[in-house]
Amino acid sequence: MSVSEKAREVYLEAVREIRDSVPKIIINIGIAVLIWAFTKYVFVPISIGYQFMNIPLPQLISLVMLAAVAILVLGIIKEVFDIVDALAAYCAYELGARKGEVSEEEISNYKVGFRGFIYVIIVALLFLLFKDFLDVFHPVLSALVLLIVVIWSVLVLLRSGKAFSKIVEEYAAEWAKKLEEKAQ
Amino acid sequence: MSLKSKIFIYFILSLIPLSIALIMLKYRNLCMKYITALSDYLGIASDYIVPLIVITLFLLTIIFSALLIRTIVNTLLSQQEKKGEK
Repeated sequence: MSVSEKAREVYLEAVREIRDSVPKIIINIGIAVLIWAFTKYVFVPISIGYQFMNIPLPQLISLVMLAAVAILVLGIIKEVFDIVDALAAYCAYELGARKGEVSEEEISNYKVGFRGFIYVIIVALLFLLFKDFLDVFHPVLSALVLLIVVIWSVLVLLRSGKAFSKIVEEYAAEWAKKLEEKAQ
Repeated sequence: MSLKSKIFIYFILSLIPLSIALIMLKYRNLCMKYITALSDYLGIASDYIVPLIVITLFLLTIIFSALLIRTIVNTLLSQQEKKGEK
């Protein structure tokens, strides 16, 4: 099977994956955003100043909201993995089809690179959504989570950068070779 | 039950607790006064009644709005599939 045929097959697989996973992701993200908005703008303001069994009500409501959204996010993690992998494989084959060849290492590099970027974006968005609710528990908690997120993001982005740098190196070498040939 | 009526019922069921919560937010002091008077009349401590009402409204709102979104998206997807089949 030639690379372009394989690229077409991978493209169809990616489209199938997107068709399967995107509705579930949209539903869960929509529900999560709705819960977040109701909690932030309606239920936390109402509950300020009240306690339930000596626990401040805003904290209790934030805890319920965090638990609900955590369940929703866990429910779509597998779908997000599948989509990112499908897109990475498609990108690898698309570029490979132009070049005329594609190696397994290249595909795995694309997967590592894409996964890293997408994970960092998702975690950063989740942190932005939940920062206020973590502040409700304790201001230090939000700072601590931010510190962990920053360290983790740096490590993941370094890994992604390394994965992409291998691909960039290959292209740079190819380009240099072409330039050398032109000069001769 | 048809999908339209299902969507309508979920919409109403999510709108009722949400609108009660919004009214409580807008007329907070007045609502709390009435709830306290009612709980005193019933002989229940108002410290428990208000948080229970808020938590119940919160849970009802998120459950029914989640069901509403799920039903709407599933309906749209099934309609698209039917169009695709035609």
